[in-house]
Amino acid sequence: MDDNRPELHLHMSSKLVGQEGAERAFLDAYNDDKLQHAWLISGPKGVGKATLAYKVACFMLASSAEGTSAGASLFGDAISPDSLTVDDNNPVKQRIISGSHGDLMVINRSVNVKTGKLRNDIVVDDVRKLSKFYSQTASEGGWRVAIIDAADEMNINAANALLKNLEEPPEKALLLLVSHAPGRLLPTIRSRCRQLALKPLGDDAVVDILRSQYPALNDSDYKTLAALSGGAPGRALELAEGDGLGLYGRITSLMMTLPRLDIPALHQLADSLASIKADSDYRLFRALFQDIMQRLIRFSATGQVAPAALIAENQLFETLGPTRGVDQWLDLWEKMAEQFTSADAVNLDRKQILLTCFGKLAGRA
Amino acid sequence: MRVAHSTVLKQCSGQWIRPNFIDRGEVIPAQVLGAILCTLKNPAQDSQRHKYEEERQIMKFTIERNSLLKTLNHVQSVVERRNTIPILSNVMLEASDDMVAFTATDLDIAVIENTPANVAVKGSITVPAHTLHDIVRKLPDGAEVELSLAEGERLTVKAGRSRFQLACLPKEDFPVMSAGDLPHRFKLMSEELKRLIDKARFAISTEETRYYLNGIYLHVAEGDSGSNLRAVATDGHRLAQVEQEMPDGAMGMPGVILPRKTVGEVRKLVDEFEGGVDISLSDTKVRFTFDSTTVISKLIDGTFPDYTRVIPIGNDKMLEMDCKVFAEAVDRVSTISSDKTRSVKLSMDSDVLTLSVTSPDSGTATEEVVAGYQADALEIGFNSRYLLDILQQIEGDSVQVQLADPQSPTILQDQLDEAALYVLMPMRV
Amino acid sequence: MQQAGIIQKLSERTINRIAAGEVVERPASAVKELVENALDAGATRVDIVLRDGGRELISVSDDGCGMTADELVLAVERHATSKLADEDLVNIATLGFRGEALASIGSVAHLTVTSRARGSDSAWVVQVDGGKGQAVQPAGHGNGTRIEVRDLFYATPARLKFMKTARAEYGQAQDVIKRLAMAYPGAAFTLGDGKRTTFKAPAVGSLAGDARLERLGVILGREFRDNAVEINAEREGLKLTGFAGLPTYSRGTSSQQYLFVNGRPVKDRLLLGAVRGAYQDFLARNRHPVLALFLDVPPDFVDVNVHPAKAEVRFRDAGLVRGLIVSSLRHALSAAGHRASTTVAGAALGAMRPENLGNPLPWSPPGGERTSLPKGLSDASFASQAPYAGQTYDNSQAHFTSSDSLMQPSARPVEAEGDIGGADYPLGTARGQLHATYIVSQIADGLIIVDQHAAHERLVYERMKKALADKKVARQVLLLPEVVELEETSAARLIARAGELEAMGLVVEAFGDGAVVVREVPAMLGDTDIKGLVRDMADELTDMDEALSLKERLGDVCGTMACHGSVRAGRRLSVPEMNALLREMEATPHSGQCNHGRPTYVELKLTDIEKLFGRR
Repeated sequence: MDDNRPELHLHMSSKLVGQEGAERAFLDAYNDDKLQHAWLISGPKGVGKATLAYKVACFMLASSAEGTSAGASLFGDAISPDSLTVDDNNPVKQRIISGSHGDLMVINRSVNVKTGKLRNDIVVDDVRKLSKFYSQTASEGGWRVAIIDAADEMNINAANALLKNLEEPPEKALLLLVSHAPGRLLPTIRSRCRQLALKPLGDDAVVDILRSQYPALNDSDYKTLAALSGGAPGRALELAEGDGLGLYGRITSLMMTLPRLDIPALHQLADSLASIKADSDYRLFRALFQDIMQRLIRFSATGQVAPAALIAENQLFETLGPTRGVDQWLDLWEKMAEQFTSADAVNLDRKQILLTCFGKLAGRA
Repeated sequence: MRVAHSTVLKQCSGQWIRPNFIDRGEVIPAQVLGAILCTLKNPAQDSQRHKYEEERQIMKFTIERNSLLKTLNHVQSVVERRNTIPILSNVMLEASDDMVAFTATDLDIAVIENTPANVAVKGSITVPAHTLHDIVRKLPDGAEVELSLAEGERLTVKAGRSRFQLACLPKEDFPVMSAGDLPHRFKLMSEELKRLIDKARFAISTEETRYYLNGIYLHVAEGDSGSNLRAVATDGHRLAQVEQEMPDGAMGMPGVILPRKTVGEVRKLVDEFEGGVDISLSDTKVRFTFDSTTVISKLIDGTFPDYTRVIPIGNDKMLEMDCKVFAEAVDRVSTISSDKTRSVKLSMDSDVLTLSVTSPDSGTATEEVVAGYQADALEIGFNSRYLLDILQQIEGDSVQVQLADPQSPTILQDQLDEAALYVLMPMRV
Repeated sequence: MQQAGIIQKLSERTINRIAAGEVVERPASAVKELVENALDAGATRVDIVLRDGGRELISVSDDGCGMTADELVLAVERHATSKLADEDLVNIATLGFRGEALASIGSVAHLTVTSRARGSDSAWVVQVDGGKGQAVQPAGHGNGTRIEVRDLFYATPARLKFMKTARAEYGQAQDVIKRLAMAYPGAAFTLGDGKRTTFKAPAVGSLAGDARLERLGVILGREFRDNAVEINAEREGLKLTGFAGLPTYSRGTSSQQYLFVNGRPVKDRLLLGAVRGAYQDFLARNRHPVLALFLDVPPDFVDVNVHPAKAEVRFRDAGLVRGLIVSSLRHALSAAGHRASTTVAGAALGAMRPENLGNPLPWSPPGGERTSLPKGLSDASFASQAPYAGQTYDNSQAHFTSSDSLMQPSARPVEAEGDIGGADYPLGTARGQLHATYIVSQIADGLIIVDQHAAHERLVYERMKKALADKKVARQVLLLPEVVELEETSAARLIARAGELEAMGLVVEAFGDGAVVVREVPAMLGDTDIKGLVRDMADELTDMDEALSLKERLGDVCGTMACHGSVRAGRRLSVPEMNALLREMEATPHSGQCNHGRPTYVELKLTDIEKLFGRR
């Protein structure tokens, strides 16, 4: 089933933090009556792109519902709204949450009916739904809003099909593209969208969000999580929820002993991440591990040290960094990335992947 | 599952929620999610379960099985069988004074029917449409059906000794098809509407890239004899144009394109009702009201091409044919053509029409029929299926074919119904 | 990561390094240059060693003509090779014409060249390190040249970063060597990683077809050898030779299509497009043939100097090349239309017994397609158009009984063997029907199993296609002509081919700059996406110089209709009906496979059956 509702719930109920600039930019365009028909919302994973897209969609649909009701015109010109926020009790928001708003279309990767698995790409049939959606008038009489999440996932045929919609947009239709890697989109798509880049939040802002959700942690934990999240609150929460701190500790302590490997500890870690149930932990591990490697490479190339909250990493860099040249590190990093990707594509044993990664680190360290 | 539950819980309390499945692509079965939502929004209050039974009723009515079945038959056909969003599989029940309104929608069309019922407690809820329909279908003829909903419970359907409990979702989640302001309003007799639809419908295009042809264009046409209401459909190969005397109130209405599916739903209902149909429309919505049943539909958001340019006016070669003889002859000779093109050649010369088909596989077929034709001899090819489609719409005994040359559009006209006109493009071999 | 450099005048060494980037992208391209050099020197044996995917060491030894001390010095200098006399860039008759290879490699690696010229009694060695050549020194070496490249790209760390894993690089180099080995069956090749030899192709003599097929068998596998038809055609000074795989031996990707122009491996879109066009009738759209084609053209007919990596070429008359490829492939495949893939039979036998039985010999078609049929019979089979039932059939039955008394209708299964009358027919005499789906027929030296639905589908398809080719395609005139916006060049290209398109049922006219208007479409396509069709065709004309989409779509419609109009699996056929089907298959070209590239029949030789029972 291609049900995107879990994400929908997530984004509809999340508070968007620290993206006031982007919200303002959209609102200004709206109030000045210069609303571009397509927007490309970009930024790192977990920073709030989809949340912003849903917020915008909700705002557009809720305000067009008010606009069409008879009462609004009694007060002469409508007052320009100064916020995108829509009240939780607004029935439009209710319907968006239950997936029954006829004027919102969300396009994600769909499930392949034959295999029962989620496809790796957004395919052309998914995008064709958009053409049908745009070819008929609005259900509730106002705007029609479509979200593509994530636009990077469109394959080439899907992207070309989308291009046709971008070229000849109907009246009162808004298209929101969410993208972690806008560079991967067709240049012709990018050039037809107004770009809205969401910036990473400051550590303090991330800490505030963490504190409101996980009040039981201590200050240094908050700071570490914020630093690890790279300014993306979604990622920070993900780390907090999935014991990212513990995992981070285990990874760094394993790396500390390099070039010697603590074999029992490594196997313990690999075992705990290999099972199907530990899927989310495995993904956390993968992200954390790749981030550490990235910082290591940055250090070895430019001498840039890790953020203060991750002070322990610096020690690691000092000992590990000089053991290889920058290009060797890059090479290693590439190989690991390739391995992670192919592991997902063909369902390789995750334990083996983990052991190989550390083996490689140790092999030449 | 575990994730979804906590997600929804937190969502309901308006807080930040577990975000760590952003990347996981987890899929939660729609029914499961629906069930959770249902229990969440109607939290069961176990401790008080057996007290105040009557006061906790949210909705309760009884209705005769046949009338319920008829209503469900009317509304459920728009609901898609396979739906990933649970609420879209549901039908909404709204019980008011002695009346229950049933609403179903696929987000493009909504069908609403009001049915008299014995309402004990006014209220509303939504339940899976096909399941309810299947249940009612299997209940014995003439049974009294009681539908009741207590707070925190499922919808109970009782008839005789059968008892069903159905998962339900709140009315607030149900899609809204807002008709908005419908400034143009007129009335057609069922027979008239039926005629407009039937005579135009066969020419609707199924090609989705030209979406503006995927429906019937209903508009006001200015003619020599004043204004008429006109329905036009075309797939680019043939065109059907049907006119109707201008009903009161239609003057000044915008031209609208009724989507193919809407045409189909309305056509089904036309057969069930006699008398008048109220039609109201704006440039974005249309509403058909039959007695107690209402259809609200979106329109196609596009511009219908200027078809009047392609209807020829100077075709001077007239062929008069007995319609039945013509259709039978076309049908007979085209038996021979096995390929998809099905071309039939018409050769006309002084009161004789010769139909011929040549198929490289199966051979040839020819048939001569007597015709009224006095113009210069002419040969022209047509797609036999297109020709038959049109001849089937002709009511009168004879059809007039107006020709020019083998490359140009040909007009076919019903001798009995001159307000219907068909344009057919020839085929060339 | 690197400090910004101060702007300097580019040194000779830098220029070489930049050029190296173009010519030597990775170990495989160095290998290609070096092996081509060896072949140019007339080598009959080339031994290649790659250590750590070529990063540590690339060594190429040959037994070619070798170089003298003076030549050796010149060889490592840029643009100073013996190959281009008089700087004649037009008459390029050797492979490594650009003369950059050694200099380029020398500028990014430690290069050692050791060589002894034929007839000379002393060998010489020269070393180049990072572009700087050392003095030539005497050395000990047999006839020929050995080139050693160590620490490739040590001088350009940036490029090192783009190197893939050792295995991937090794694989690429192996692919390059295989391609060259296909073109030079007369030379022996070995490739190793220093520990073991991973590829070995012994010399197989001259360029004659057999030798070439032998060599292709070594590289593409035995099965290719058993399932390929020879191509040998010549037109206006162009010569096309090679081997093309049968449609039943097809692949899911186009990676096994090897094309050579004057012995040079190329990956050219025009040529690949021609191959696709030639196989279009025989294969489903997502299946690809396996083949190796060698095109020999006069040097002045082709421009190979398009790109230093030399994978693409430009012909003076692309249409001629295309026509030659399409017509000779079609011709060869048509002649082989009756050869169902032996792989199928082989696989079937393999499934019966654990041991591999080896492949039976392919069955060759009788000389002419219809000659082996009695006249009346052939007519009868033509008259008995599909489906095999009802009146149509009765006529043909009458012919049958009168012309061949052996085929009297009889009970199922056909009684007794007794006579082998059917041996006269390539597909034999029907002996019975299994599961109302397969026809079993007996031939002189074995038996044949026919998939009745697949076979009949092909017959109907062929008939429809013939009809399509004989008369022009019926066109539906459009009431609302469709205007399609295109790029100006695409629109012009489309209009230039308007006549050809009209024959296929599509009538287009120019409509201002960069647009065409479609007035008539092929009637059999019905209500179709005209814009999409026209855009696809414009793209194809740009890429491949042929509008395949329209043909393919017409073919698809024929195919679908053929499928629906054919005898279903599960229908019982009478013996005369079965025989009529066999006779018509014999008379129809390409009936060895259905339109999806699957075989319509399999043949089991008596010898194979005997093997199954352990009699042999």
